[in-house]
Amino acid sequence: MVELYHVNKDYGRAHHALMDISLEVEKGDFVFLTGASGAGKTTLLRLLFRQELATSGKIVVDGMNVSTLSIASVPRLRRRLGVVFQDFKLLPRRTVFENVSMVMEITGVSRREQRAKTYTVLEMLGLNHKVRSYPLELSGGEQQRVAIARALVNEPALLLADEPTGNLDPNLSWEIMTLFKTINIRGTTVLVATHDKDLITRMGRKVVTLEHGRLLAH
Amino acid sequence: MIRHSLREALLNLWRNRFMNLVAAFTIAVSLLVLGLFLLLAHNLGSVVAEVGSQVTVSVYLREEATEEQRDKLLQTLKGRAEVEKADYISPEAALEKFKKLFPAMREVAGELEENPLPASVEIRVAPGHRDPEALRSLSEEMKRLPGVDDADFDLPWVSRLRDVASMARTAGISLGGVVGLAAILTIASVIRMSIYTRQDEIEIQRLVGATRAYIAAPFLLESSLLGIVGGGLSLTALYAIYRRLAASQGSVAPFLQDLLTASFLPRSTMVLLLLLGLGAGALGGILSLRRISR
Repeated sequence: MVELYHVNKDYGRAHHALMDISLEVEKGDFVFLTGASGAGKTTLLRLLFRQELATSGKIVVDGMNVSTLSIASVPRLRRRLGVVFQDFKLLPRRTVFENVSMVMEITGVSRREQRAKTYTVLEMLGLNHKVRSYPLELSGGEQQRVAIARALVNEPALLLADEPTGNLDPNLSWEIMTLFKTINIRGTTVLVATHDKDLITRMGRKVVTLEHGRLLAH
Repeated sequence: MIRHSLREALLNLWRNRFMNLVAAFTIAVSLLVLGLFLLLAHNLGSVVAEVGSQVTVSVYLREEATEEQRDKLLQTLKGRAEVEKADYISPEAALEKFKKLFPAMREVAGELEENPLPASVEIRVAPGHRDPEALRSLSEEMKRLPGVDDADFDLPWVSRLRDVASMARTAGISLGGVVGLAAILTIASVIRMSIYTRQDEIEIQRLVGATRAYIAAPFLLESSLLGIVGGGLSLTALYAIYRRLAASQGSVAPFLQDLLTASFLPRSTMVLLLLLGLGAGALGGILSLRRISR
Protein backbone atom coordinates (compact mmCIF):
# COMPACT_ATOMS: atom_id res chain seq x y z
CA MET A 1 0.00 0.00 0.00
CA VAL A 2 2.76 2.41 0.90
CA GLU A 3 6.32 2.04 -0.31
CA LEU A 4 9.20 4.40 0.21
CA TYR A 5 12.57 3.73 -1.42
CA HIS A 6 15.52 5.76 -0.28
CA VAL A 7 13.50 8.86 0.22
CA ASN A 8 15.18 12.10 1.21
CA LYS A 9 13.62 15.40 2.06
CA ASP A 10 15.76 18.49 2.43
CA TYR A 11 14.79 22.04 3.15
CA GLY A 12 17.69 24.00 1.77
CA ARG A 13 21.19 22.61 1.95
CA ALA A 14 21.52 22.50 5.70
CA HIS A 15 18.23 21.04 6.85
CA HIS A 16 17.79 17.35 6.15
CA ALA A 17 14.37 16.46 7.43
CA LEU A 18 14.35 12.87 6.17
CA MET A 19 17.35 10.80 5.18
CA ASP A 20 17.37 7.60 3.20
CA ILE A 21 13.97 6.35 4.30
CA SER A 22 12.98 2.98 2.96
CA LEU A 23 9.76 1.58 4.30
CA GLU A 24 6.95 -0.70 3.29
CA VAL A 25 3.45 -0.78 4.68
CA GLU A 26 1.37 -3.64 3.41
CA LYS A 27 -2.27 -3.43 2.60
CA GLY A 28 -4.31 -3.98 5.75
CA ASP A 29 -1.44 -3.13 8.09
CA PHE A 30 -1.79 -1.02 11.18
CA VAL A 31 1.46 0.83 11.76
CA PHE A 32 2.55 3.38 14.34
CA LEU A 33 5.08 5.96 13.30
CA THR A 34 6.83 7.29 16.32
CA GLY A 35 9.71 9.50 17.32
CA ALA A 36 10.46 12.69 19.20
CA SER A 37 9.07 16.03 18.03
CA GLY A 38 10.94 17.16 14.99
CA ALA A 39 12.02 13.65 14.13
CA GLY A 40 10.26 13.90 10.80
CA LYS A 41 6.95 12.11 11.34
CA THR A 42 4.79 14.88 9.97
CA THR A 43 7.15 15.44 7.07
CA LEU A 44 6.99 11.80 6.11
CA LEU A 45 3.22 11.78 6.18
CA ARG A 46 3.10 14.96 4.10
CA LEU A 47 5.14 13.30 1.40
CA LEU A 48 2.60 10.53 1.09
CA PHE A 49 -0.20 12.77 -0.11
CA ARG A 50 2.09 15.22 -1.77
CA GLN A 51 1.61 18.19 0.43
CA GLU A 52 5.37 18.28 -0.05
CA LEU A 53 7.55 16.72 -2.72
CA ALA A 54 10.40 14.41 -1.82
CA THR A 55 13.84 15.71 -2.72
CA SER A 56 14.83 12.28 -3.96
CA GLY A 57 13.68 8.71 -3.80
CA LYS A 58 10.54 6.91 -4.86
CA ILE A 59 7.20 6.89 -3.11
CA VAL A 60 4.34 4.69 -4.15
CA VAL A 61 0.95 5.00 -2.50
CA ASP A 62 -1.91 2.72 -3.47
CA GLY A 63 -0.18 1.93 -6.72
CA MET A 64 0.45 5.55 -7.66
CA ASN A 65 3.93 6.98 -7.97
CA VAL A 66 3.50 10.10 -5.91
CA SER A 67 6.49 12.05 -7.19
CA THR A 68 5.66 11.65 -10.84
CA LEU A 69 1.96 12.31 -10.56
CA SER A 70 0.70 15.12 -12.75
CA ILE A 71 -0.92 18.02 -10.94
CA ALA A 72 -4.24 17.01 -12.39
CA SER A 73 -3.99 13.52 -10.90
CA VAL A 74 -3.11 14.59 -7.37
CA PRO A 75 -6.77 14.98 -6.37
CA ARG A 76 -7.30 11.39 -7.41
CA LEU A 77 -4.61 10.24 -5.00
CA ARG A 78 -5.90 12.36 -2.16
CA ARG A 79 -9.40 11.04 -2.50
CA ARG A 80 -8.22 7.53 -1.81
CA LEU A 81 -6.84 8.66 1.50
CA GLY A 82 -8.21 9.91 4.75
CA VAL A 83 -5.88 12.36 6.41
CA VAL A 84 -6.10 13.59 9.98
CA PHE A 85 -3.93 16.68 10.18
CA GLN A 86 -2.10 17.65 13.28
CA ASP A 87 -3.58 21.13 13.06
CA PHE A 88 -7.01 19.77 12.08
CA LYS A 89 -7.37 22.01 9.04
CA LEU A 90 -11.07 22.54 9.42
CA LEU A 91 -12.91 25.13 7.36
CA PRO A 92 -13.73 27.89 9.84
CA ARG A 93 -16.72 29.21 7.93
CA ARG A 94 -18.48 25.90 7.59
CA THR A 95 -20.41 23.91 10.14
CA VAL A 96 -19.21 20.61 11.51
CA PHE A 97 -21.62 18.84 9.18
CA GLU A 98 -20.36 20.72 6.15
CA ASN A 99 -16.74 20.14 7.08
CA VAL A 100 -17.28 16.42 7.10
CA SER A 101 -19.63 16.15 4.14
CA MET A 102 -17.34 18.30 2.02
CA VAL A 103 -15.09 15.40 1.14
CA MET A 104 -18.09 13.57 -0.26
CA GLU A 105 -19.36 16.66 -2.04
CA ILE A 106 -16.04 16.74 -3.81
CA THR A 107 -16.44 13.22 -5.13
CA GLY A 108 -20.01 13.78 -6.24
CA VAL A 109 -21.77 11.61 -3.70
CA SER A 110 -25.54 12.13 -3.60
CA ARG A 111 -26.90 14.48 -0.96
CA ARG A 112 -28.87 11.73 0.67
CA GLU A 113 -25.86 9.49 1.04
CA GLN A 114 -23.78 12.40 2.26
CA ARG A 115 -26.28 13.10 4.99
CA ALA A 116 -26.50 9.49 6.06
CA LYS A 117 -22.78 8.86 6.18
CA THR A 118 -21.99 12.16 7.86
CA TYR A 119 -24.48 11.56 10.62
CA THR A 120 -23.21 8.03 11.08
CA VAL A 121 -19.59 8.97 11.46
CA LEU A 122 -20.34 11.96 13.67
CA GLU A 123 -22.33 9.71 15.93
CA MET A 124 -19.46 7.27 16.08
CA LEU A 125 -17.31 10.10 17.34
CA GLY A 126 -19.89 11.43 19.75
CA LEU A 127 -20.47 14.67 17.90
CA ASN A 128 -24.07 14.44 16.75
CA HIS A 129 -25.12 17.24 19.09
CA LYS A 130 -22.56 19.57 17.51
CA VAL A 131 -23.62 19.08 13.92
CA ARG A 132 -24.54 22.68 13.31
CA SER A 133 -21.72 24.22 15.31
CA TYR A 134 -18.77 26.00 13.82
CA PRO A 135 -15.21 24.85 14.49
CA LEU A 136 -14.38 27.90 16.53
CA GLU A 137 -17.20 27.07 18.88
CA LEU A 138 -15.68 23.68 19.68
CA SER A 139 -13.04 22.60 22.14
CA GLY A 140 -9.71 21.31 20.88
CA GLY A 141 -10.76 17.76 21.47
CA GLU A 142 -14.02 18.23 19.59
CA GLN A 143 -12.24 19.82 16.68
CA GLN A 144 -9.86 16.91 16.59
CA ARG A 145 -12.77 14.51 16.44
CA VAL A 146 -14.30 16.44 13.56
CA ALA A 147 -11.00 16.13 11.72
CA ILE A 148 -11.03 12.41 12.36
CA ALA A 149 -14.64 12.16 11.21
CA ARG A 150 -13.77 13.85 7.97
CA ALA A 151 -10.91 11.47 7.37
CA LEU A 152 -13.09 8.44 7.98
CA VAL A 153 -16.35 9.33 6.31
CA ASN A 154 -15.29 8.30 2.84
CA GLU A 155 -14.09 4.88 4.01
CA PRO A 156 -10.61 5.47 2.62
CA ALA A 157 -8.21 2.79 1.50
CA LEU A 158 -5.47 4.37 3.59
CA LEU A 159 -5.79 6.40 6.76
CA LEU A 160 -2.95 8.75 7.68
CA ALA A 161 -3.28 10.24 11.11
CA ASP A 162 -0.89 12.82 12.56
CA GLU A 163 -1.20 12.91 16.36
CA PRO A 164 -4.92 12.10 16.26
CA THR A 165 -5.25 11.86 20.02
CA GLY A 166 -3.13 14.82 21.04
CA ASN A 167 -6.06 16.76 22.48
CA LEU A 168 -8.02 13.87 23.85
CA ASP A 169 -8.14 12.37 27.32
CA PRO A 170 -6.96 8.76 27.70
CA ASN A 171 -10.44 7.27 27.53
CA LEU A 172 -11.35 9.12 24.40
CA SER A 173 -7.95 8.32 22.93
CA TRP A 174 -8.55 4.67 23.47
CA GLU A 175 -11.97 4.93 21.91
CA ILE A 176 -10.48 6.51 18.83
CA MET A 177 -7.88 3.79 18.58
CA THR A 178 -10.60 1.20 18.86
CA LEU A 179 -12.38 2.93 16.04
CA PHE A 180 -9.23 2.82 13.99
CA LYS A 181 -8.86 -0.84 14.79
CA THR A 182 -12.36 -1.47 13.52
CA ILE A 183 -11.85 0.21 10.21
CA ASN A 184 -8.54 -1.55 9.92
CA ILE A 185 -10.33 -4.85 10.24
CA ARG A 186 -12.70 -3.70 7.53
CA GLY A 187 -9.76 -3.27 5.22
CA THR A 188 -8.36 0.22 5.67
CA THR A 189 -4.60 0.44 6.02
CA VAL A 190 -3.78 2.63 8.98
CA LEU A 191 -0.64 4.67 9.61
CA VAL A 192 -0.64 6.70 12.80
CA ALA A 193 2.07 9.15 13.80
CA THR A 194 2.17 9.66 17.53
CA HIS A 195 4.50 9.95 20.47
CA ASP A 196 1.97 8.59 22.93
CA LYS A 197 4.03 5.61 24.15
CA ASP A 198 1.23 4.25 26.27
CA LEU A 199 -1.15 3.98 23.41
CA ILE A 200 1.43 2.28 21.28
CA THR A 201 2.19 -0.27 23.90
CA ARG A 202 -1.46 -1.00 24.59
CA MET A 203 -2.30 -1.42 20.92
CA GLY A 204 0.58 -3.78 20.29
CA ARG A 205 0.96 -3.08 16.62
CA LYS A 206 3.90 -2.68 14.30
CA VAL A 207 6.03 0.31 15.19
CA VAL A 208 8.37 2.34 13.02
CA THR A 209 10.64 4.81 14.75
CA LEU A 210 12.17 7.96 13.35
CA GLU A 211 15.11 9.71 14.94
CA HIS A 212 16.51 12.91 13.49
CA GLY A 213 15.14 12.03 10.10
CA ARG A 214 16.36 8.47 9.97
CA LEU A 215 14.60 5.19 10.49
CA LEU A 216 15.71 3.13 13.42
CA ALA A 217 15.97 -0.58 12.98
CA HIS A 218 13.02 -2.29 14.68
CA MET B 1 -22.19 20.09 -8.46
CA ILE B 2 -23.55 23.06 -10.39
CA ARG B 3 -26.09 23.72 -7.70
CA HIS B 4 -23.41 23.66 -5.04
CA SER B 5 -21.13 25.98 -7.01
CA LEU B 6 -24.01 28.34 -7.64
CA ARG B 7 -24.83 28.48 -3.98
CA GLU B 8 -21.18 29.12 -3.14
CA ALA B 9 -20.98 31.86 -5.75
CA LEU B 10 -24.12 33.63 -4.54
CA LEU B 11 -22.94 33.40 -0.95
CA ASN B 12 -19.60 34.93 -1.80
CA LEU B 13 -21.19 37.66 -3.87
CA TRP B 14 -23.37 38.57 -0.95
CA ARG B 15 -20.52 38.50 1.55
CA ASN B 16 -18.61 41.15 -0.37
CA ARG B 17 -21.61 42.89 -1.79
CA PHE B 18 -20.22 46.43 -1.76
CA MET B 19 -17.11 45.59 -3.72
CA ASN B 20 -19.06 43.42 -6.09
CA LEU B 21 -21.58 46.15 -6.73
CA VAL B 22 -18.75 48.47 -7.69
CA ALA B 23 -17.42 45.88 -10.11
CA ALA B 24 -20.87 45.34 -11.60
CA PHE B 25 -21.18 49.08 -12.05
CA THR B 26 -17.99 49.32 -14.03
CA ILE B 27 -19.29 46.72 -16.45
CA ALA B 28 -22.62 48.54 -16.50
CA VAL B 29 -20.94 51.79 -17.47
CA SER B 30 -19.05 50.32 -20.38
CA LEU B 31 -22.15 48.52 -21.61
CA LEU B 32 -24.14 51.73 -21.20
CA VAL B 33 -21.67 53.58 -23.40
CA LEU B 34 -21.90 50.85 -25.99
CA GLY B 35 -25.65 50.70 -25.60
CA LEU B 36 -26.15 54.41 -26.20
CA PHE B 37 -24.24 54.26 -29.42
CA LEU B 38 -26.06 51.13 -30.47
CA LEU B 39 -29.35 52.84 -29.71
CA LEU B 40 -28.35 55.74 -31.89
CA ALA B 41 -27.19 53.45 -34.65
CA HIS B 42 -30.36 51.40 -34.40
CA ASN B 43 -32.66 54.35 -34.73
CA LEU B 44 -30.64 55.89 -37.50
CA GLY B 45 -30.73 52.57 -39.21
CA SER B 46 -34.52 52.42 -39.04
CA VAL B 47 -34.83 55.88 -40.53
CA VAL B 48 -32.43 55.00 -43.26
CA ALA B 49 -34.22 51.78 -44.01
CA GLU B 50 -37.55 53.46 -44.16
CA VAL B 51 -36.65 56.45 -46.20
CA GLY B 52 -33.94 55.49 -48.54
CA SER B 53 -32.64 52.36 -50.01
CA GLN B 54 -30.37 51.37 -52.71
CA VAL B 55 -33.35 50.48 -54.72
CA THR B 56 -34.95 53.89 -54.97
CA VAL B 57 -34.47 56.62 -57.43
CA SER B 58 -36.26 59.80 -56.50
CA VAL B 59 -37.27 62.11 -59.29
CA TYR B 60 -38.13 65.65 -58.17
CA LEU B 61 -40.55 67.53 -60.36
CA ARG B 62 -40.39 71.19 -61.16
CA GLU B 63 -42.94 73.39 -59.52
CA GLU B 64 -44.37 74.32 -62.88
CA ALA B 65 -44.55 70.78 -64.20
CA THR B 66 -47.91 70.06 -65.76
CA GLU B 67 -50.14 67.12 -65.11
CA GLU B 68 -49.56 66.01 -68.65
CA GLN B 69 -45.86 65.95 -68.18
CA ARG B 70 -46.29 64.07 -64.98
CA ASP B 71 -48.52 61.41 -66.51
CA LYS B 72 -46.24 60.99 -69.47
CA LEU B 73 -43.32 60.55 -67.16
CA LEU B 74 -45.11 57.90 -65.18
CA GLN B 75 -46.12 56.03 -68.29
CA THR B 76 -42.64 56.06 -69.72
CA LEU B 77 -41.27 54.83 -66.50
CA LYS B 78 -43.70 52.02 -66.07
CA GLY B 79 -42.72 50.63 -69.41
CA ARG B 80 -39.09 50.34 -68.56
CA ALA B 81 -37.36 47.17 -67.51
CA GLU B 82 -35.45 48.81 -64.64
CA VAL B 83 -38.58 50.11 -63.06
CA GLU B 84 -40.46 47.79 -60.76
CA LYS B 85 -42.79 50.44 -59.41
CA ALA B 86 -43.22 54.15 -59.88
CA ASP B 87 -45.27 56.16 -57.41
CA TYR B 88 -46.24 59.78 -57.58
CA ILE B 89 -45.91 61.66 -54.33
CA SER B 90 -47.66 65.00 -54.07
CA PRO B 91 -46.13 67.83 -52.07
CA GLU B 92 -48.78 67.32 -49.42
CA ALA B 93 -48.05 63.62 -49.20
CA ALA B 94 -44.35 64.39 -48.97
CA LEU B 95 -44.94 66.74 -46.09
CA GLU B 96 -47.04 64.13 -44.30
CA LYS B 97 -44.31 61.60 -44.75
CA PHE B 98 -41.78 64.00 -43.35
CA LYS B 99 -43.93 64.76 -40.35
CA LYS B 100 -44.42 61.08 -39.71
CA LEU B 101 -40.71 60.37 -39.76
CA PHE B 102 -39.81 63.25 -37.53
CA PRO B 103 -42.63 63.81 -35.09
CA ALA B 104 -40.71 66.36 -33.07
CA MET B 105 -40.41 68.49 -36.17
CA ARG B 106 -44.14 68.55 -36.60
CA GLU B 107 -44.41 71.88 -34.89
CA VAL B 108 -41.75 73.39 -37.07
CA ALA B 109 -43.43 72.01 -40.15
CA GLY B 110 -46.78 73.33 -39.01
CA GLU B 111 -45.49 76.84 -38.76
CA LEU B 112 -44.48 76.99 -42.39
CA GLU B 113 -46.73 79.01 -44.64
CA GLU B 114 -45.78 77.23 -47.80
CA ASN B 115 -44.97 73.63 -48.29
CA PRO B 116 -41.32 73.66 -49.30
CA LEU B 117 -41.30 70.07 -50.45
CA PRO B 118 -41.61 69.34 -54.17
CA ALA B 119 -43.73 66.76 -55.89
CA SER B 120 -41.76 63.68 -56.74
CA VAL B 121 -41.90 60.31 -58.33
CA GLU B 122 -40.41 57.49 -56.39
CA ILE B 123 -39.07 54.72 -58.58
CA ARG B 124 -38.52 51.34 -57.09
CA VAL B 125 -35.78 49.76 -59.13
CA ALA B 126 -36.25 46.19 -60.26
CA PRO B 127 -33.86 43.51 -59.06
CA GLY B 128 -30.99 43.07 -61.42
CA HIS B 129 -30.60 46.78 -61.93
CA ARG B 130 -29.78 47.70 -58.39
CA ASP B 131 -26.07 48.37 -58.64
CA PRO B 132 -24.81 51.96 -58.09
CA GLU B 133 -23.86 52.41 -61.72
CA ALA B 134 -27.26 51.47 -63.07
CA LEU B 135 -28.93 53.71 -60.53
CA ARG B 136 -26.65 56.56 -61.43
CA SER B 137 -27.32 56.27 -65.16
CA LEU B 138 -31.06 55.98 -64.57
CA SER B 139 -31.12 59.11 -62.45
CA GLU B 140 -28.98 60.98 -64.95
CA GLU B 141 -31.44 60.05 -67.63
CA MET B 142 -34.38 61.17 -65.52
CA LYS B 143 -32.81 64.54 -64.98
CA ARG B 144 -33.02 65.26 -68.69
CA LEU B 145 -36.72 64.60 -69.00
CA PRO B 146 -39.16 67.52 -69.28
CA GLY B 147 -40.69 68.69 -66.05
CA VAL B 148 -37.98 67.17 -63.98
CA ASP B 149 -36.00 69.37 -61.66
CA ASP B 150 -33.61 66.80 -60.26
CA ALA B 151 -33.18 63.11 -59.74
CA ASP B 152 -31.17 61.26 -57.20
CA PHE B 153 -30.70 57.63 -56.37
CA ASP B 154 -30.22 58.37 -52.78
CA LEU B 155 -31.32 61.27 -50.75
CA PRO B 156 -28.11 63.01 -49.77
CA TRP B 157 -28.97 63.16 -46.16
CA VAL B 158 -29.89 59.50 -46.19
CA SER B 159 -26.40 58.42 -47.13
CA ARG B 160 -25.16 60.89 -44.57
CA LEU B 161 -27.31 59.22 -41.97
CA ARG B 162 -26.10 55.83 -43.01
CA ASP B 163 -22.52 56.99 -42.52
CA VAL B 164 -23.37 58.50 -39.17
CA ALA B 165 -25.07 55.27 -38.15
CA SER B 166 -22.02 53.15 -38.92
CA MET B 167 -19.77 55.73 -37.31
CA ALA B 168 -21.92 55.60 -34.22
CA ARG B 169 -21.70 51.86 -34.21
CA THR B 170 -17.92 51.90 -34.58
CA ALA B 171 -17.49 54.62 -31.98
CA GLY B 172 -19.70 52.69 -29.62
CA ILE B 173 -17.73 49.52 -30.06
CA SER B 174 -14.37 51.24 -29.64
CA LEU B 175 -15.36 53.30 -26.64
CA GLY B 176 -17.30 50.43 -25.18
CA GLY B 177 -14.30 48.20 -25.80
CA VAL B 178 -11.89 50.45 -23.98
CA VAL B 179 -14.18 50.90 -21.02
CA GLY B 180 -15.02 47.22 -21.21
CA LEU B 181 -11.37 46.32 -20.84
CA ALA B 182 -11.21 48.40 -17.70
CA ALA B 183 -14.31 46.62 -16.47
CA ILE B 184 -12.85 43.18 -17.15
CA LEU B 185 -9.72 44.08 -15.23
CA THR B 186 -11.76 45.43 -12.35
CA ILE B 187 -13.72 42.22 -12.13
CA ALA B 188 -10.51 40.23 -12.34
CA SER B 189 -9.04 42.04 -9.37
CA VAL B 190 -12.27 41.73 -7.38
CA ILE B 191 -12.28 37.99 -7.98
CA ARG B 192 -8.59 37.76 -7.21
CA MET B 193 -9.24 39.39 -3.88
CA SER B 194 -12.08 37.02 -3.30
CA ILE B 195 -9.66 34.15 -3.94
CA TYR B 196 -7.02 35.56 -1.62
CA THR B 197 -9.42 35.89 1.26
CA ARG B 198 -10.40 32.27 0.80
CA GLN B 199 -6.83 31.07 0.32
CA ASP B 200 -6.74 28.91 3.44
CA GLU B 201 -10.07 27.32 2.60
CA ILE B 202 -8.88 26.59 -0.91
CA GLU B 203 -5.74 24.94 0.40
CA ILE B 204 -7.72 22.68 2.68
CA GLN B 205 -10.07 21.76 -0.13
CA ARG B 206 -7.06 20.84 -2.27
CA LEU B 207 -5.57 18.73 0.48
CA VAL B 208 -8.68 16.60 0.78
CA GLY B 209 -8.79 16.01 -2.94
CA ALA B 210 -10.83 18.75 -4.60
CA THR B 211 -9.93 19.26 -8.23
CA ARG B 212 -9.02 22.66 -9.55
CA ALA B 213 -12.25 22.72 -11.52
CA TYR B 214 -14.29 22.11 -8.37
CA ILE B 215 -12.57 24.98 -6.59
CA ALA B 216 -12.59 27.33 -9.56
CA ALA B 217 -16.22 26.85 -10.55
CA PRO B 218 -17.78 29.07 -7.88
CA PHE B 219 -15.37 31.88 -8.68
CA LEU B 220 -16.09 31.66 -12.37
CA LEU B 221 -19.80 31.66 -11.68
CA GLU B 222 -19.28 34.61 -9.36
CA SER B 223 -17.60 36.70 -12.01
CA SER B 224 -20.10 35.73 -14.70
CA LEU B 225 -23.00 36.66 -12.46
CA LEU B 226 -21.32 40.00 -11.82
CA GLY B 227 -21.18 40.48 -15.55
CA ILE B 228 -24.84 39.69 -16.08
CA VAL B 229 -25.83 42.02 -13.26
CA GLY B 230 -23.72 44.70 -14.92
CA GLY B 231 -25.49 44.05 -18.19
CA GLY B 232 -28.87 44.25 -16.52
CA LEU B 233 -27.94 47.51 -14.82
CA SER B 234 -26.83 49.02 -18.12
CA LEU B 235 -30.07 48.01 -19.83
CA THR B 236 -32.09 49.53 -17.03
CA ALA B 237 -30.12 52.77 -17.18
CA LEU B 238 -30.37 52.80 -20.95
CA TYR B 239 -34.11 52.37 -20.85
CA ALA B 240 -34.44 55.10 -18.25
CA ILE B 241 -32.45 57.49 -20.41
CA TYR B 242 -34.51 56.48 -23.42
CA ARG B 243 -37.79 57.20 -21.67
CA ARG B 244 -36.50 60.46 -20.32
CA LEU B 245 -35.49 61.62 -23.79
CA ALA B 246 -38.74 60.49 -25.37
CA ALA B 247 -40.76 62.30 -22.74
CA SER B 248 -38.94 65.62 -22.79
CA GLN B 249 -40.74 68.06 -25.09
CA GLY B 250 -38.34 69.07 -27.82
CA SER B 251 -35.88 70.46 -25.35
CA VAL B 252 -32.57 69.78 -27.02
CA ALA B 253 -32.36 69.41 -30.77
CA PRO B 254 -35.70 67.90 -31.78
CA PHE B 255 -34.02 66.18 -34.64
CA LEU B 256 -31.62 64.41 -32.35
CA GLN B 257 -34.38 63.47 -29.99
CA ASP B 258 -36.30 61.75 -32.75
CA LEU B 259 -33.17 60.07 -33.85
CA LEU B 260 -32.62 58.48 -30.49
CA THR B 261 -36.14 57.68 -29.51
CA ALA B 262 -37.93 56.26 -32.51
CA SER B 263 -37.70 52.91 -30.82
CA PHE B 264 -35.76 51.15 -28.11
CA LEU B 265 -33.23 48.48 -28.88
CA PRO B 266 -34.46 45.29 -30.49
CA ARG B 267 -34.60 42.27 -28.22
CA SER B 268 -31.60 40.71 -29.93
CA THR B 269 -29.41 43.69 -29.07
CA MET B 270 -30.60 43.64 -25.48
CA VAL B 271 -29.67 39.98 -25.25
CA LEU B 272 -26.35 40.84 -26.86
CA LEU B 273 -25.62 43.41 -24.18
CA LEU B 274 -26.43 40.90 -21.46
CA LEU B 275 -24.23 38.29 -23.11
CA LEU B 276 -21.41 40.79 -23.44
CA GLY B 277 -21.74 41.46 -19.73
CA LEU B 278 -21.63 37.75 -19.05
CA GLY B 279 -18.61 37.37 -21.31
CA ALA B 280 -16.77 40.23 -19.71
CA GLY B 281 -17.44 38.78 -16.28
CA ALA B 282 -16.34 35.32 -17.32
CA LEU B 283 -13.17 36.72 -18.88
CA GLY B 284 -12.39 38.62 -15.73
CA GLY B 285 -12.84 35.44 -13.73
CA ILE B 286 -10.66 33.37 -16.04
CA LEU B 287 -7.98 36.04 -15.95
CA SER B 288 -7.81 36.04 -12.18
CA LEU B 289 -7.90 32.24 -11.93
CA ARG B 290 -5.00 31.97 -14.31
CA ARG B 291 -2.79 33.97 -12.07
CA ILE B 292 -3.66 31.89 -9.04
CA SER B 293 -3.15 28.63 -10.81
CA ARG B 294 -2.19 26.62 -7.75
